[in-house]
Amino acid sequence: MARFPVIPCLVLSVAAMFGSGAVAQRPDSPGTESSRTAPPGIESPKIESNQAIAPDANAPGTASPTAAPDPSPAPGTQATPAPAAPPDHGASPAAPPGNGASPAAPGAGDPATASSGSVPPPPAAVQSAPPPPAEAPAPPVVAAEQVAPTELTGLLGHAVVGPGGVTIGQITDLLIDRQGRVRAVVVDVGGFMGVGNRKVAVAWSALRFDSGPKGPVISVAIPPDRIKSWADYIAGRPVAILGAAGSPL
Amino acid sequence: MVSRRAAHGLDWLFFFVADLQTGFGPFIAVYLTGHQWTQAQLGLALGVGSASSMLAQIPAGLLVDAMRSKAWAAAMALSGIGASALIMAWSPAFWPVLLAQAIHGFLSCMLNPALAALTVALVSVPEVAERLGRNARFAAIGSAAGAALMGAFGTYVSTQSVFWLAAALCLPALVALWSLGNRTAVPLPPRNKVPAHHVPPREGVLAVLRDRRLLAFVVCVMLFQLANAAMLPLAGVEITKRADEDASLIIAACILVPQFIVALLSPHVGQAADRWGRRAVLIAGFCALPARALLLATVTDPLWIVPVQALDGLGGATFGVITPLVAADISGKSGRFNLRMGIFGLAIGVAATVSNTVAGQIANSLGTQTAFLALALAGLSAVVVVILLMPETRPILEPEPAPV
Repeated sequence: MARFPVIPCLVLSVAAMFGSGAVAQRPDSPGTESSRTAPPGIESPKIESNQAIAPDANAPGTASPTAAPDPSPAPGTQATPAPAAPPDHGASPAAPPGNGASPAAPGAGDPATASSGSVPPPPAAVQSAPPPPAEAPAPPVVAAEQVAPTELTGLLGHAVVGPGGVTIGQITDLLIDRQGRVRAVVVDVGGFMGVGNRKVAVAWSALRFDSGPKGPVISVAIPPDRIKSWADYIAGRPVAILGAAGSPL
Repeated sequence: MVSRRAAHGLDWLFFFVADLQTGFGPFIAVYLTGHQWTQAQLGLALGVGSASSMLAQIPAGLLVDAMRSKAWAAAMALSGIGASALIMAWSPAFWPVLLAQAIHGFLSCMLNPALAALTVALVSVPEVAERLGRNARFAAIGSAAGAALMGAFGTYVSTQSVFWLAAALCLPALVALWSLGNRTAVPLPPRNKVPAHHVPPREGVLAVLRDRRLLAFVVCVMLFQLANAAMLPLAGVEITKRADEDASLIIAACILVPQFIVALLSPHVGQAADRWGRRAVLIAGFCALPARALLLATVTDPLWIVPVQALDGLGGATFGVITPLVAADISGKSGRFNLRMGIFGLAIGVAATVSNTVAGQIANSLGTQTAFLALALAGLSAVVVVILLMPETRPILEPEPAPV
């Protein structure tokens, strides 16, 4: 269970996709060389995200690049929208949240679309990143990176531990300002069986990050009772951000 | 007299159903948050669940009324609820969870009335009150056990395991149901025969709705929940704020203590309802509401909230026993028992939602104490309404085994 979230968390929207949970579970439990060596070949054609991990779960992924060069036959429906789509949709490669159903093919990372997405560049181009396809407005290809699941973690649902190493609560949201800086996290504290929980905004600067055996550990140096009795975070109301002593807000 | 085996079957049935239903309430938020659900998605999923469990009340009631075998209705609902627990456990993704929530909402609306109907069918009229009391007892024990069991699984195994467990608990519930089904078929008091006849003298829906006793009780139920629903959540928040280390333990006590009180009192509530009438018992039980709200408004030490919460058990026992009892009283053999249960369920759901929203807003803007005082006011008006509006519904003739 704990390992389950690690990878898909990078793209929150993946959570909204139907099967993603079931698929993602497999690749990351092996989590080792075998699963990690597989992706690069496949993954690099379309980066978008580590969501592209999905391919390693299946052989078709490898087959698809070969099938890809001729767009007409193989990938059926997905293949056709891809060449057509870029003119309008390609501009927003950030995969629209939620459903791969959206035609913004360049992004969507599942194997099928990856194959269609790689229509323009021949399989050879897979390794070297960026020759932009003729008519598509250059999807911003970045160097792909492999990161061990213990090095990264999703923030939503992540536990926050207090001074004694005791779990105080879970992060349920991030608060950013207009400049895009993360100002605070919303932590759900206290309660039992859903009764008595409170949501409290804790300053980002008050959080400390360490590495743990299962991944990053997020702690906060504020006494738990201080946090639990802090003002409620209520969306749409003025937010009282609780900071640690001495740390800038 | 019900056979002992059937009686035990009912006991276990209510125990396991309450047990497994615990898995659906409180753990969902924690579980989904742990799977990177955003607050908006979570709100939507929970909203779908509560909306379907309200909107489905009346259709589900009509459906169960129309079904010949309440045991089948209950079995269908149970299996479906098990399936939705499996979906939740298997795939915590957006659409599956939404689907599971919708299914669960609808089927719960079928299950609860169907179980009550099964009970009413199984026992003779004079025994109904006592048996409903016993049901409430085992339901309370079941939900306390469920809370403990699932709390332990959620803490020590994983939040996901809670849903596997909930699905697994469907099996013993089905077994209990089966053990009952054999009995039901055998001798049977008149009630059970009604659906079996091809001439169902089913009462018209409009006639059901026009019944003054029904309307009066709907008002009582709504005021009760208006006062009741938000009380524990508000108290829980106060405990979290004030108690430092032991907040979770105190909250756990606040949840479990009332369940034990319900388990203790329910059978007596059933007997009292026969001896002194439904009205008297309702008045006594409803009085616990304003008393509890006033005490919560004044108590400051979080530990003292626990004994105050015991009053919740008094109110809960009354409410849990009298609601199906009144439905059975005023339904008689009309074949509209489940519709009436559905109407009450809808009233409860709406009032509970309003209670939580309004009390939450009052607490945010005017303080928790004011919110408790407002709840006390609602509770007081519930008592007044029972006194003024609620007629006695106890069937007059005790010896009435013959069909009318």
